[in-house]
Amino acid sequence: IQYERVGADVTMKCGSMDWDAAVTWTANGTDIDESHLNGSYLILKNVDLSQSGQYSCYEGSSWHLKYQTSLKVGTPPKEPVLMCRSNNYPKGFYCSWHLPTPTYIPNSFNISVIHGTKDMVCEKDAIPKNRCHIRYLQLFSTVKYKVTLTVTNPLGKNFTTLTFDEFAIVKPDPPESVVAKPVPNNPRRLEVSWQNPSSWPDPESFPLKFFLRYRPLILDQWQHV
Amino acid sequence: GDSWGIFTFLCAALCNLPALPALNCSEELGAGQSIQQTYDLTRYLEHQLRTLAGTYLNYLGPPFNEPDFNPPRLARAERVPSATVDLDLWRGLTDNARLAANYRAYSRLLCYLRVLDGQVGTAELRHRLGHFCASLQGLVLSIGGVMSSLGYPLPTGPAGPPTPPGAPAAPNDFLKKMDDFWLLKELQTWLWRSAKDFNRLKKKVPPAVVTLRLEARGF
Repeated sequence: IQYERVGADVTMKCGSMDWDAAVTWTANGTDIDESHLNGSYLILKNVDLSQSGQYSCYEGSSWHLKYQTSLKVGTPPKEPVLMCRSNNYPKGFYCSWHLPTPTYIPNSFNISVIHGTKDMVCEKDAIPKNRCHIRYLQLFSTVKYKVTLTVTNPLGKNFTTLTFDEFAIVKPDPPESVVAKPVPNNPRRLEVSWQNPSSWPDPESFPLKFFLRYRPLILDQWQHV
Repeated sequence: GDSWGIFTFLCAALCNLPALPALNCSEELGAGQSIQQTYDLTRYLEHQLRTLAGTYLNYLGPPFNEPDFNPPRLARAERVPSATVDLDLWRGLTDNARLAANYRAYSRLLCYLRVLDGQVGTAELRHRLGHFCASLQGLVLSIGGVMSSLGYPLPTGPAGPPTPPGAPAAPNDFLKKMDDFWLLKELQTWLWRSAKDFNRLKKKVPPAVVTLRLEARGF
């Protein structure tokens, strides 16, 4: 496999063949025109994504396969987008990330979490892939957490860092089973019921506060309960 | 004795009534409501602290007022009991231990803040700090009141001198500012924690406690 940047000039040699040997190049099985050749070298200028594929080089008359490579055109990673949130306080928090633009080649992610002087392990989730979670060892810490995400691919690397206090990332999931029922014999009333989000582990010690707003469809203004 | 005196004062202050005999007051307030009021006080203080900390950190200047400022904890003497605690330990605290931890922490925090109050430069800061100290004093009394109403003894110990014996005062201006920074951080974390402490207490102190006391007094 050969990785190249979008816009780069690529030169492919036909294995150990001499420069002046007679060869034929194919791209995904289709012959390549001689104008792209410099001797037996294949020159691809200013490559774009559509030029990714299987390139093969055959000796002129015998049609022996002398060289083959899979060209993958892509970009080095831009600075990744990282977010950390505790939707299950006080159990822990999770961090999730993504790249702002695709690189078109495989990327690997490495995440590090430092709490004061301690290194913590962020366990990667199976699903979704770009997420890991951490369990709080201590509660009510005065020391910030520092999370660094590094993304690497064959064309380069990039990283981003988040620093935050324990309480700054607490954000529960939305309420569940929100139901609005009409009240019998009272057309001007609605009964709204809901449940704590199931991800919130301890509503007894860490109660959630809910705010309700409503409006008839024909009006634009919301009213608050 | 002393605890009843505090409780009566608390009742009078919070109920806005002339100092009633303790018996009548316990009938009106009950431990449950005192806990609710203490909880409300911590939320109010948390809100107040946000403005105070912002002003104070700006007074200290950079890097203390930078949002990303994340200094290492220097190995100076532990001046204030830390709010940081193991999760299971925190869950398993008895009501007495939970209340005592809060009482001790805020008593000492109050002392350090009062020292700060005597040192700050601007009039605005002195005014804000003064107001905050008064509210914090109210919180300490409130917690004391809850402990008394539940029959727990108030924690004794060093409530006076802010510097424990043997701990050096900050050797230079920068380290002094670091001390102030950590003091505000500890305060912020304790207020965050106390709301959760009092939430737990709210659930755990049943009305039966009040009823029992009334029965004992023959009401």
